[in-house]
Amino acid sequence: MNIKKLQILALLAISPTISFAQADRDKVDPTTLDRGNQPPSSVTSGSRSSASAKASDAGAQRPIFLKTQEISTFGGFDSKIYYDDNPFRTSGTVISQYKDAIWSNTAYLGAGLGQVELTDAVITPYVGASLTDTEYMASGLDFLDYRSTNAYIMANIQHSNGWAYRVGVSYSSDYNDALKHETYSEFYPNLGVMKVYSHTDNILGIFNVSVGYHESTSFNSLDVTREDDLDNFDIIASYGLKFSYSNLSISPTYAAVFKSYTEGAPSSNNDREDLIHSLNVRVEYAITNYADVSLFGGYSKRDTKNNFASGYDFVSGTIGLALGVNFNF
Amino acid sequence: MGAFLFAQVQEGGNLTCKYTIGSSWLFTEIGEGGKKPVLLEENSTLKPGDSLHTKEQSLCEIENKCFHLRIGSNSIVETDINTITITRGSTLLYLKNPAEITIKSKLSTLFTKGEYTAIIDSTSNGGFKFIPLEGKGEIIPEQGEAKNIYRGRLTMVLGSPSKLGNAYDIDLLLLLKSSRLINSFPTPLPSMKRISLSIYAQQLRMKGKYNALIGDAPTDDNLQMWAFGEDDNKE
Repeated sequence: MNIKKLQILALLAISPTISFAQADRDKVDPTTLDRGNQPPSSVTSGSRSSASAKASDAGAQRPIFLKTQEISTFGGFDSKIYYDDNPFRTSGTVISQYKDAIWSNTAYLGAGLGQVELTDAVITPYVGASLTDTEYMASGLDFLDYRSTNAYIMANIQHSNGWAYRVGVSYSSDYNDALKHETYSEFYPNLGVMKVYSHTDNILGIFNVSVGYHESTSFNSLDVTREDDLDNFDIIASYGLKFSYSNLSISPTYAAVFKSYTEGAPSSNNDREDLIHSLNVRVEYAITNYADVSLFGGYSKRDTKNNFASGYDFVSGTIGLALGVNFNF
Repeated sequence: MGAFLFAQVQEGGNLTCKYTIGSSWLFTEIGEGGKKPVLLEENSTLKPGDSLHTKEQSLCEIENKCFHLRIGSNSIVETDINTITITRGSTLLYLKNPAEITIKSKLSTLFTKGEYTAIIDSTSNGGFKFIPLEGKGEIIPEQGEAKNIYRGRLTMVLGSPSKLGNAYDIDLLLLLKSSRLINSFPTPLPSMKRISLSIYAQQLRMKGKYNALIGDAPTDDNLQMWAFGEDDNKE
């Protein structure tokens, strides 16, 4: 395992990313919500601070101090504002013509529950939760503003062969501010593997694959519960690069998601399969060890195959600015 | 169990030089207590009791079936069946299997049990620093209690009869980046993946770094600390 990889290891964890399906044509498609059910990459914090390494035979011996408690906590706040040319992730409908500026704020909190150190692996369990508030700012669709909550428990297993394995389950829920009730919820048990490659001293490659099952409950426009309509298996594969130059990093990532819906007839998702491609780029500048600002943009495309296919295909583009603060102790 | 492990080390056989750069001299017995210096070359064989002297900017690596020994510049190392004596300089020891090894310096002696990779850095007070990079086991001084081997924890070994002095957790990533014993050899250490895992585990537990570097120990009561930069304990 190359040393450079250690700067970013593990804990990029479960990113269910583009999940579920279209609950309703006149609602936000929860498919494209990025539900941040992952601990921060604690290994990356402070990585900029290594003293320059002057070679000696034994090596430089810099004293450090370690956490004395098994449980370590982390948290933070992310705020982002962005333009989206298809915020509802649909096509061929009135709502698909809307473009909007979106403001999203996320607060998160989590804890690492200690480490189990084996000869060839380190197991780290985590729990965490987040709350995200999303507002549509310019298109007059503010009755669709919603809040998302997410909670997860997971274990990350870093093996000495360089692969990080993870297993976890998360719970997510969307709550519509205008309707004042939940519009979507799901449990998402999942498994994943990740490996970090060092292409050069400044360029890392991050390969990620995960599989999971979305056990969902959703509501249509008449607020009738459709218990399993959006249940699906998904497979997510992604490869990203991270170019690092001092405090600046540039991270392009390609991801492909395959989803197979499991609810049979009379569900409109009977035999439905989605293939979603997305390409995202993030330029991040670390202001301090606890704060960063970033510019991000992305393009995604969904191809849907099913008996009632209509309006599920989409393309969308986003560009925006984000500010994040975080803490670890 | 101990006897079995001891037997394993005995079966390690003669040490063979796998890599050398610069000039290193092997002082080998020629009978009647005399020793003759021979320039160390790749595939040179070391017998028990031979001592190896490396010059400035010289490095070498010797191994047998039980362990690898990388020797830094300006070092004097002598090996016996299950004993490694370092009277000057620094060395890196990688054990291929669980074993009982005794590490000696001018004054001090440390018994070790387990399977590990460690750097041994001799100090001016006649003792040495024992710095495990990975692995599990115990270090047992002549006087006082044994301690478990813990990756990244530098332990001072002092005096005769030897005892364990202060211990310091040190930044393994920095050590790894700056150590010629790790980086200046054509082949990576066999335990490199486990060392990387140690660094990962240490990074997860790290709370901060002191702006200082540990230096030599001129006496048992003094340890040189080289301070640098401004206070920045929490990174």
